[in-house]
Amino acid sequence: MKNYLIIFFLLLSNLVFSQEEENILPQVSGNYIGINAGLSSGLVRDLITSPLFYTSALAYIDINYQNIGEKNIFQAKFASHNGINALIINENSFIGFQSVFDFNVLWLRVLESSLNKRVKHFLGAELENYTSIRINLDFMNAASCIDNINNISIAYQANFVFRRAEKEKKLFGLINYKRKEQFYLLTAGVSVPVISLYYRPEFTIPGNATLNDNNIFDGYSLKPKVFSGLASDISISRILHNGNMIKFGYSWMFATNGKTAFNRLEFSHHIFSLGLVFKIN
Amino acid sequence: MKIKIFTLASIVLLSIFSSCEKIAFDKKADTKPIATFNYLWEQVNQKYVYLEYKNVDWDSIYIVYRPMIRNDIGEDSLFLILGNMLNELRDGHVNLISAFNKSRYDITMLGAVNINPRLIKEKYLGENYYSTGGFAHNFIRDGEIAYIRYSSFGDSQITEYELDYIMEKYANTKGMIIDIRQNGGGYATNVFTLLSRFTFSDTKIYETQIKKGLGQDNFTILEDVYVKANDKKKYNKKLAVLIDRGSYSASSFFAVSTYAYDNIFLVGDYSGGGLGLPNGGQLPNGWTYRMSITRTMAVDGKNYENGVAPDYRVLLNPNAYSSFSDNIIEFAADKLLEN
Repeated sequence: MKNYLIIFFLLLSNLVFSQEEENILPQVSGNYIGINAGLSSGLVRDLITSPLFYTSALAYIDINYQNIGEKNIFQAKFASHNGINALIINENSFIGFQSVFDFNVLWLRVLESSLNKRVKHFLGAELENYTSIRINLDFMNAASCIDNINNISIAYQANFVFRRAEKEKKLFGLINYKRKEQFYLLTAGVSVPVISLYYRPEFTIPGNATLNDNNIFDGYSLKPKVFSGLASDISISRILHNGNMIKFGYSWMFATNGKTAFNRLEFSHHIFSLGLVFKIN
Repeated sequence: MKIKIFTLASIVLLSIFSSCEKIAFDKKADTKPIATFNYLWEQVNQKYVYLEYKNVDWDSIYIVYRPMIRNDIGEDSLFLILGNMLNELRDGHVNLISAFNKSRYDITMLGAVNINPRLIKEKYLGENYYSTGGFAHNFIRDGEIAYIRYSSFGDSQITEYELDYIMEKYANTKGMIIDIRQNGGGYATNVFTLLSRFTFSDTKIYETQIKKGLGQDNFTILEDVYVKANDKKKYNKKLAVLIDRGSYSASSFFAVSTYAYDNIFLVGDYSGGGLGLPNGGQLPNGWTYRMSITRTMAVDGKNYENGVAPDYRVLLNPNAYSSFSDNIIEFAADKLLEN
């Protein structure tokens, strides 16, 4: 009997605790506008002009809108990366410039939730338009290259809301202070482009110096590619009392038009960003 | 605990995904001389437009040059061999560029220099010639002819103001000479800007196409290139354009475009060619190169890559300076004053 009572009270206490957690955890729902800035670094190799990988160091900024509902998440994001691509080989350095404009729309539907809705799993689709402009004067008439990629992806995301309890702490073991109760949203996601449409120079870059403007995009073609890359992101956001959030994120993506493509394009971005997310209602 | 599992799982997943990048990107590039040679040879084989036109057997070039390359060869020697191999293309738009050298095929050496700059300055431009942008100009033949020396399409972009000034100044002449001898080219946009002052209705000046794939005849469709008429000041008399072997690239584009105009004629030697747009690239060892990847067809349907033919072939008299007369300018001026 004693054992039954213990089990009963344990279950009851767990229920009470869970109820308390549900009550005290903030609801992450509504409309949000976020602004993130950071550093984007990665690799890029465009075999139209060079068989060598350039390392990119780009300033990153994005602005996004999110609608988080009970069952759905909708997100529209515009991101821009601007900076340099550099290569050092045989004591010679080569520097080019790169600008990326990335627009994507993401829709996710909740698959299941657990732990009193603290953890939610979503599955959905993403549409993306990615434009990269690269300029490398060492390539003379082929200095300027523009690529445009449209992706249709399937996306998975998991959201986890958790709480860090109030705690007495010591700074450097000397100064006592109290860490206040904090709430966080941990998000991790991955998206796989199912079909990508690469619009890029088919064989050579026509250049821009000895023909009139009409001819610059001759030689461009649109080629589809199945499963051409991968993108993942993880972020942790501290939820403030007014519903706004401070977000630190890391995201990574790579894409290629395929090893069999005549002039392969390969690129990746590792993006570290810090941002603010404003709850608008 | 759940947080830890969730975080751990996320990190593991990200690590796995990140390693996908390494699998997808084959980062090992062979930068040794043999790989560099093979890469360059292959690029030319695939992308260079004039192998057939110039009757170059690129496979036999491989057989000749490949045995010269070993992986322990010095940079200088490698550069020399690759440069010589590229010069087999006989194309001024083909270069190999390293930090210590630039290979070139000097097209101007194919013909005599058809101009004496000192004579031009002393007799035709005179002491008080005008310098408007890249143009040096003055009246000749007692003010009946405008003489304009344009020595480079690459010094600057021609402005409408410069052309307005020149058109205004020489509006009452009976003819104009534009001298582009030894003009090695530059901005082709200047070709359109300059020609627009002699264009009264949209004029097709040539057709162009771009190499788009493997195979010697794999090109985009020929596309018409036009000079658009505008409402700027124009010159409506006859125009003589002076050319020689040193008139290359944009100068050849200008020269070949004149075939589309009834009131413009070419005087001098064949131009140097260079009607293929050069495309740049990089080799595995970091050196860069360029080569022609487009071709141009004149309005008569012919390819003048080996040199745009003058309407009147006149070579400079070897005694031009001592006789104090440029017989090419004099010929052009006489033609302009005919009728």
